[in-house]
Amino acid sequence: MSVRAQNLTKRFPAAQTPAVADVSFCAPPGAITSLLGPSGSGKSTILRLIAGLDDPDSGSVHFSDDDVTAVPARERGVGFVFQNYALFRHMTVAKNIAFGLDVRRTPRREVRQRVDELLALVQLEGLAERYPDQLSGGQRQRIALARALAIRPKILLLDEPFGALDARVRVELREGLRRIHEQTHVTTLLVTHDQDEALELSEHVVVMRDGRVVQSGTPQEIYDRPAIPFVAEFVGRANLLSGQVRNGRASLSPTLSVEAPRSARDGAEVNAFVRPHEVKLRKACDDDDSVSLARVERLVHIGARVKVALTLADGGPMTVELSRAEVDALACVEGDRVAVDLRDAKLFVADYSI
Amino acid sequence: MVEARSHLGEARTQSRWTAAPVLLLALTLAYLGVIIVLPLGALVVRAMSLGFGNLLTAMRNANAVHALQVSLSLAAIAVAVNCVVGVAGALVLVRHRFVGRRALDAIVELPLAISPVAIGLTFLLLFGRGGWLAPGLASLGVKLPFAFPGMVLATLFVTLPYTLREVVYVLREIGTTEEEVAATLGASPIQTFVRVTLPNVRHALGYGVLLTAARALGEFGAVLVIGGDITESTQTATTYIYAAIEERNAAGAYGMALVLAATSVGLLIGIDWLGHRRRGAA
Repeated sequence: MSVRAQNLTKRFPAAQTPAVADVSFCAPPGAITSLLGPSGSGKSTILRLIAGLDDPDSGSVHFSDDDVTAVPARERGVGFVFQNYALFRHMTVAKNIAFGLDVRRTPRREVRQRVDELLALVQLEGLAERYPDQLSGGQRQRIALARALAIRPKILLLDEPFGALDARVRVELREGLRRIHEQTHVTTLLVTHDQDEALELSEHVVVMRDGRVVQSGTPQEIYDRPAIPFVAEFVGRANLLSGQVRNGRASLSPTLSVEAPRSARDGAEVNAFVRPHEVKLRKACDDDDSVSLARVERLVHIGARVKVALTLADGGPMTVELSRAEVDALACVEGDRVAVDLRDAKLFVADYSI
Repeated sequence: MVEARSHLGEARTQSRWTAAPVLLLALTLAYLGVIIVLPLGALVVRAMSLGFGNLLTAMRNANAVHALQVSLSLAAIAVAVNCVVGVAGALVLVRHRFVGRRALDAIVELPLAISPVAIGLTFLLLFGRGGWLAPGLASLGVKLPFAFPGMVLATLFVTLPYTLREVVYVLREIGTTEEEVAATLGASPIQTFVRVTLPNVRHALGYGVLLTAARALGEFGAVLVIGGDITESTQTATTYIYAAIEERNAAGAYGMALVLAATSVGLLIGIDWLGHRRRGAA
């Protein structure tokens, strides 16, 4: 079952700008789609509109070919996992998971079977009689997921499900979600501000900012071909370089010029983005012109990788990511000058002003 | 050196026990003792000194029995009505936006601020001879002033805030997320209310109910004015005590006071126990 949002707009009372403005996208069936964006980009609002917990001011929501915009939440058959889990505090884990089945008056034996099935799926057998306040954050999240899956939803909606958990638990749950998805193949819509999560988990990514969709595609497409500067910086890290157009080429420091966009005139400003791990550094030689040299400001060792903070010839900053081996071969310390090599780097020539 | 250090440590700990906190504790205990323990203790001692048999006889008196019945009935009605009003009103106040909600929030607290005697007087003015609503009542055939219905109204007025405030507080604290989850799982509004909302407010409601009962039993001024303290008719346990004092009926006064005190203590124990559980454990 696919989920399609069509021109959704939602404005909350007393708000200056709409929370969601003319948003359209399609989540393919059986896949995990991420709604990725910073806080306030409207992604949670979209999720609530899809679930039917809020009504859009205009636009429609479609499940496969059906327009469900007017269908109330409880008839949409969606499973929703909230950011703070929202387990029913006065019910046991088993009763929580069984809730969706109990309100449909499912026979007791069937309910018990399904609860056991789901506890096994989320690997929490034996916790059936515990209460939510006796569980850890990660356990609560898994129970919330089990509860949502109990009713065999056509669509699963997850609102920043791993946000409130520590890093290691988050990684474990991510893998757990992947595993469960491979078993159930439910169309899943995941809201997150964590780009690692989006890139790792989803087959399709919708990037949002300020209530609008700015780009959508596969994780690789988003990463390799960001449509606007915001996407380049938000998804994966990027260095911003600026330069001017001269003789049909945009010269960016250091020592690199690219073919300027056809419509850019001489003297126009060009912004380009370079990924930190695609920049090469080498020792400064005497015949390097001063333009391609940079000063090492700081070396930060993070596990097996090293982040090198540089100041370029024109005074601008640049961050380069190298492996430990490359840094050792470079043998430089803070204050040294190194030569910056952008030949292998992929540059995205982004917006330009005239 | 080590011994010297430990000796110093002891001295510092000792000094903690002679400082201001101890004095504060002593003052607080003394204050509570004078205000609460002493009067209650005196009541029990004085009552017992009259002889348990005398107290029993005084309580078996028809007037006394009726007065107690009236008080208990008023409390029971107040509890029953406020269970419904408390929950329904709280849901409206917390879950819906409407013009004048803030004002309503404030109005609900009014009964706490107005003197009960003034409340009784207001009802008398409204429903008594020549009152604004007197003709309407006459057509309904209901007698309100100096009758039980009037006292019910007055009691409902003074007990309004208790359950309402407690349930409002809890509803605000826990928010609507659980109800939204229930909706996505397919529950109808009624199923959500019964399975999710009510269980979440039950401790707050229970606490509010006990407060309501205690307040209703202790009401004096309002039921005195609107009821008229007519023996074997509109006399409550509290107005009975007042009348007994005037008539120099020591056994009656102390006996009834003891009964009310015992009931209050029972309610207090319940309040304390439920109080710990009322604010919605996460």
